[in-house]
Amino acid sequence: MDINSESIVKAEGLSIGYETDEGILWAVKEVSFEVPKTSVFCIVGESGSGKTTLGNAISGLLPPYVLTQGYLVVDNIVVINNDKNNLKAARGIAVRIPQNPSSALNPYLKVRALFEDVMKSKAKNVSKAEVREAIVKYLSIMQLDEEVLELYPYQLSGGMAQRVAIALALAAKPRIIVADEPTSNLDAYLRSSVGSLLKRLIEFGITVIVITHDIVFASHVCNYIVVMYGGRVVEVGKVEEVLSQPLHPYTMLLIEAATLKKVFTNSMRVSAIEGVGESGCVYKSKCPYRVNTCQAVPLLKYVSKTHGVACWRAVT
Amino acid sequence: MLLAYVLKRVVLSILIIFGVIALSYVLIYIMPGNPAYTWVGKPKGPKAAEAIQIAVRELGLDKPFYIQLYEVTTRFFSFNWGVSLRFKQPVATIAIRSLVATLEVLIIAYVIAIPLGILIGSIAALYRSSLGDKAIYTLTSILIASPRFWLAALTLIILQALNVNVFGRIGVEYQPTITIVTGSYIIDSLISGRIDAFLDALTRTLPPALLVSLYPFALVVRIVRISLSEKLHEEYFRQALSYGISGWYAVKRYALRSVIPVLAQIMGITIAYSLVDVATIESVFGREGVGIALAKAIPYNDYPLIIGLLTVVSIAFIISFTVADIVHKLVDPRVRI
Ligand SMILES: Nc1ncnc2c1ncn2[C@@H]1O[C@H](COP(=O)(O)OP(=O)(O)OP(=O)(O)O)[C@@H](O)[C@H]1O
Ligand SMILES: [Mg+2]
Repeated sequence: MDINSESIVKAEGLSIGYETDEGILWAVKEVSFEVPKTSVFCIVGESGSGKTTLGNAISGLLPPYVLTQGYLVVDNIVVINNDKNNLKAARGIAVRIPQNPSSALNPYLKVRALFEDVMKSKAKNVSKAEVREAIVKYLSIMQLDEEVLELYPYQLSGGMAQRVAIALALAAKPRIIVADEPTSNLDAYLRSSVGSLLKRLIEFGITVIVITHDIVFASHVCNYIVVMYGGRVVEVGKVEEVLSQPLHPYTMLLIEAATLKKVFTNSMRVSAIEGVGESGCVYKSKCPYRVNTCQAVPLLKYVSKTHGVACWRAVT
Repeated sequence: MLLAYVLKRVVLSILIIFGVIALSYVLIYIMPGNPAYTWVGKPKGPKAAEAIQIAVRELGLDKPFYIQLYEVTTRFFSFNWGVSLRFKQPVATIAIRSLVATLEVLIIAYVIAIPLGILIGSIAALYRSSLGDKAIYTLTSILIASPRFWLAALTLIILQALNVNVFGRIGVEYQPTITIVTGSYIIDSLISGRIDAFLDALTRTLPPALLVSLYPFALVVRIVRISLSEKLHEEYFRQALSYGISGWYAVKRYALRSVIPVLAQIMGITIAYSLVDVATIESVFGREGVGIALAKAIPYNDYPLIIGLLTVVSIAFIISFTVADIVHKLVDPRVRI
């Protein structure tokens, strides 16, 4: 894959599977992409398409019983190298912003103690004054009063908790922030404010990866977008390219559904019976343009420097 | 706010203690027969009438009930709990001496059981279903089911065969060398500056304390093992890892901490259970204690002593429950009572 700017995350033929009773469930299949430095990069797809699994891989939070293939490099650290993984190394470098911040903040500690823990884990011998100063800075970036420091997480509102979680992520001084459905628990107003807060993180040299099923939200906050379906990347590119000239039938459908505000029911759950490369194109059973060649898995092909699509139609 | 809670909790406990004292007095009332007659041990012969008369006055049976309650409370706090029929000594002296002897064993047992249990339980949780975890699980199953009375006898026999004398609370030769302050030989020997006596008292206390600690130790391991491994999947633990907080620090602050409230509550109750354990083990090791004192008082119908001991034990329970609640509150800010 060829993206002009330097990349900070690079996945190559990455597959991630969970062991289940019926066999291995490959939630992410042979995924390849690069995330350019200090961009806002969106992973879009419907429920069960493997977005969280991919995000957890980048932030080093996959469960220990996971199976892996291919490569994942995060900030020059090889996190996944086929069946070997070093997930711990990604933690603190790629920090996840939780989907539900109220359950992701330790209820037994005041916000101040949370900040101190996060900052001490990064730099062992920072002075108390430095810590205090930095906390104030992160709070003001997130438009939070200093009073929240004396509160316990259960005393915060949902929107406040979300901003505290982001401020804590900043305190960890990460290279990457992975926001998994950052707006799913917020109302429309808070949604757009979180969106612009996430965009601002670039100013701190942070690359932001946003996971969402909302293509409209993605089009507002992102520079780059990857569309996932059934564990595979079906389309990738700059937001303008993908939105104005969608090449994959699934992307077209997503955009059409979003603009027409249609209720979107096009569910496709990956099943544990399929192997990584089996049964052809992931979208073939739903695709209106299906042809015989769809029995084979289409590889991601680039139509421009940045715009790629995995569809037999686009290749010919 | 925390202080207010502690204060409230302490006041509540004091009220409960008043209730226990009042209840213990009611026990005298519901004793079979004339309470005064029973209180002085069912006397016969020429002096009987006089003795009963004294008892009536002592118990305040000739006064209205609320005055009686008032008197029984003030009597309690001036440690005037009557005279033991069997030992012909003030009940307060015997009850407190027995309680201190029992607490010596109980406290050492829990000081060993809780931290060690938390450590072993955490290891089991972090290495869930490893060989070590399975070994720990099996061991705790055995400990929970083990007959401690039998183990106590076995331990005593083995130690005696090895020429280690652990019978009683302290060697007779040391007894005159220390001044009694608290009633605990371990503490008093230190106050008197007698290291030799301290070591002797400690060696005699450790084996029974270790035996008593087996059950709470196994229980703590089990509780920590199961609830900690649950907490390791908790969102906020994983989030802490994501923020880059690592290793034992994350486990301690973001997982173990939330186990402590549950643990504190269960330990508060387990101490009550352990008292039964202490009683049997003390009797094997020839130590004084609440259990032995009760066992000696009951066949004699020594009501003053029985009631004195039960009151003292109830108060010890109330204190341990209160401490458990305060620990719970200290750790978990969401608790409101
Ligand atoms: N820990 C796990 N163990 C087993 N299977 C899992 C686990 N996590 C996810 N899966 C499965 O992997 C597939 C992809 O899940 P994932 O959470 O990555 O999807 P998603 O795109 O984030 O969906 P959503 O939009 O609902 O959050 C699903 O079929 C899911 O059931
Ligand atoms: Mg998800």
